[in-house]
Amino acid sequence: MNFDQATAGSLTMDWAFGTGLENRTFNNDKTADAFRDARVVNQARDYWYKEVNAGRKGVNDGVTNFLGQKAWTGGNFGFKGFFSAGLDPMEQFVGSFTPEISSDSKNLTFKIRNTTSFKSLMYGIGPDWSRSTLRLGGNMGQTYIFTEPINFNRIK
Amino acid sequence: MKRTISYIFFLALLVLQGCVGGVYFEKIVNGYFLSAIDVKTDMLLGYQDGDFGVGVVGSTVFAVGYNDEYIIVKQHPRKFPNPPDKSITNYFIVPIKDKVHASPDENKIGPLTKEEFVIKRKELGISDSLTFTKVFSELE
Repeated sequence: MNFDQATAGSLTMDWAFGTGLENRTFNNDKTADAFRDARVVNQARDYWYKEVNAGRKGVNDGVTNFLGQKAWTGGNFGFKGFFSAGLDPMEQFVGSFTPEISSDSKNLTFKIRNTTSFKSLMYGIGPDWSRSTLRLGGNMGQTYIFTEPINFNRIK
Repeated sequence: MKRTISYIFFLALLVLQGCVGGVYFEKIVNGYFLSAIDVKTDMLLGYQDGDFGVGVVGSTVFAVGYNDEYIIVKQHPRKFPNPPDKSITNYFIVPIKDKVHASPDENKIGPLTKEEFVIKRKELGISDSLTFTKVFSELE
């Protein structure tokens, strides 16, 4: 079992049994690295460069709540995401997410927020609840952060 | 045996897929939509910019009203992963025709207080008939 499989497995168990921290942050570590090449992250990155090249954004502007290409029931993962994530267990675990990009004009920082909930697992049907209500299957938040240098070759 | 394997496969698929879709999606007007990805408190106002959707007013949006020219929005600000701060209500005006910013995610006036919102909507000549017609009472 590799690192990502172990992490995704452990997060799934923690969510299902309500163990571990209710909210976690993975900041520029191996877990966050799993998202650098995720389909929606690539779309967000392309969108940022497109907006900068079109002059609608400056290099120090960001993008908040990027939703990407809409997939089934309004998320952005869907079956396309399922297949493009392939065997990446972290991408499969998180599913749909909304990345946010901030820029200091040298680096882009990607922040991915995800809530693992019963409702999202059941495709929007049924309830979701906080761990204070019921630990089993209670909402568990994760933030994945990674930084990369701006590729100035992509800016016209 | 075959049935057991099918159940295990189905369960594994559920776990693997995480959140495949969103929990709420509704188109409202001229490319604008309401969307929540994982939980209802993710509710935001988004805009379909070509192939991609971008957030315009972030979570937690709990009321909107719209006509052909403007969308008015009420939001309780939410700092992930905390729940929305219901002690604060922000108001936003999103111009559909006379945009205030070239980038769609920045095309909004706000956050405004209720008093500022009342003044701004008068200034812009927004009709009194435009009210908050879509309200999520569970998020209010």
